[in-house]
Amino acid sequence: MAHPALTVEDLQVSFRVAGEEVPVVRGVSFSVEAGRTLVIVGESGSGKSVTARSILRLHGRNATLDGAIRLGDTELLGLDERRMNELRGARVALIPQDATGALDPLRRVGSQISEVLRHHGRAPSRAGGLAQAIELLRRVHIADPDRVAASYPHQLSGGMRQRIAIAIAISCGPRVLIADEPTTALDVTVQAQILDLLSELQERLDMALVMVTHDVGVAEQMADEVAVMYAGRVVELGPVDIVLGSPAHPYTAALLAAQPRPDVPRGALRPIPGVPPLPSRLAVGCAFAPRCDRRAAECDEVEPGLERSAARVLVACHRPIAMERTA
Amino acid sequence: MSTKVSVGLVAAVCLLALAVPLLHLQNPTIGSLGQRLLPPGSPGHLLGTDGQGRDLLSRLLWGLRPSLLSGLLPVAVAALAGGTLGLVAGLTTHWVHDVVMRTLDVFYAFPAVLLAIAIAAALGSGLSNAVIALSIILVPPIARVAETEAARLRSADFMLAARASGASWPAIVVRQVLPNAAPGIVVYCSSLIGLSIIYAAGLSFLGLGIAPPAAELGLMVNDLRQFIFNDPLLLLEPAALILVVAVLFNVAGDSLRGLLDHRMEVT
Repeated sequence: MAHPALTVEDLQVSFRVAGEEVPVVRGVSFSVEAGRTLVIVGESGSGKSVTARSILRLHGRNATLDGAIRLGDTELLGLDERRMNELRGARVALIPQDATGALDPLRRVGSQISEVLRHHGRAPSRAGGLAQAIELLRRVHIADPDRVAASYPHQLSGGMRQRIAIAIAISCGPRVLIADEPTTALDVTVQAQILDLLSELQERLDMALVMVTHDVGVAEQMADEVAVMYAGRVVELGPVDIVLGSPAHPYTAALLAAQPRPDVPRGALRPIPGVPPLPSRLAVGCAFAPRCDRRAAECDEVEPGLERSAARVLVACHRPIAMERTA
Repeated sequence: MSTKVSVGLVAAVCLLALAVPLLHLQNPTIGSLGQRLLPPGSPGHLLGTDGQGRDLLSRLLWGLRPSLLSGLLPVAVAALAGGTLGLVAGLTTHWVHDVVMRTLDVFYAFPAVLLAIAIAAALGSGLSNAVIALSIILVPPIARVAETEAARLRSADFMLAARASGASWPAIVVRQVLPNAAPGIVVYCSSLIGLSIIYAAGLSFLGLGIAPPAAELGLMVNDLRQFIFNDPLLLLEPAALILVVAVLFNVAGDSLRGLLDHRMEVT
């Protein structure tokens, strides 16, 4: 069997802060096939962005990464920086959270796109690079690519800048695309356009997409599979319709209940009580136990492992929500 | 004052200083004792003469040259050295950062003028030693500004984006850090030129700069000081020129800063 486009196995990430190792990601595993989308959801500090950035190995020197990250059959964690730089942008690319900050304010858009192409040897000449850049802008549905290519980032709208960031990300035809909250900086209508664009490009280019978001609605719209993260671990992983349709983990259920929806009347939102634990002060048992309404004695003693709860669904919980599933 | 006016005036002053040898002025170092301490407006000596009968117009214009040089050259040298140190400190490991910045803090701990006097005195008088002393004292503040700029850029998303696109560190430094850090550093340095001119005048006033009989504004202030009761206007001439030139450079620097702030606003 062919390798999945991206495989992450037992990823552990810790940061050395003030002489102390703080574990931020604690044993995350998933894989994404070409053409499929995995959405990682979780609240701030759950380790979802750190996981996503680990795939590109973008952390500072104080980070320690353990486990395995494979692009196709290439293991990334052992690679030196030079080899890693050949892969970044070319085989795995990042769509940043805030495209406004992700573009160099001093340079024209066209030159920023063609620079990536030239860096990876995809454009032999400056003029050729610019022509390709304009073609890429057209592909992300920018109406007048020639004018935009000659513009500076501050002259463009937020949605346009995000499209440009996407154009840069897909410029070298990556097999894996990492999108770190690609729509949080945008208003809702633009957000929908950007998500549509991402789906379309993913299909056309047959890329594996890993998307990080705290917005369950975005996950429902985009995902084939969902990984719910809490305190540095995946607590539930499986096909989107099952995980978000009938969640087995109390945290997933709580996230859904805290989400505003058109069919739920005002005031019916149920926020999750308490705050997530600090990664430097994790207790022995289940990290979610203090906030969980299904907490039992064993939850405080043993951290539950990921176990199969239904066909294709993995859950880390001692007392998963009973299956009222029709299938 | 608008940017164009202030920068234009600075350029005019610099051009004037460059053109002095072409102006056929009277000899600035040889005077005639019969014509000493003539008041401003005297025939043949528009701005008067000093205690040795030397034409003050000629001396002021010739004196402008070493003054400007000791304003511009130390800032340029310090910008290069301090800028490099600051960027290196801002971009590398904690260890290098701490060694560089704490060493500079030691220099920072001394009042700048006193440090300049001490260095110039240790090296001996002369224009080049004054320039060296001023260069040294200007390094720490410039390095701090550069370090702040580098730290700001280090956490900028577009640096992360550049890394995510596969750019190596040297490429990022050249393509992203330098162009984005340069405006801030240049503007700060432009505001130091006026200061450097005043420091340089101070050093030569104390006899630590260029040696007599050469003309230099600070030196002239010292020289004419003794005649303050004969004709205070004579003393005011070089003093006012120092002030005007320093203020001009400061205003030009400020308006550059205004331009930069405006651009930052839009971005």
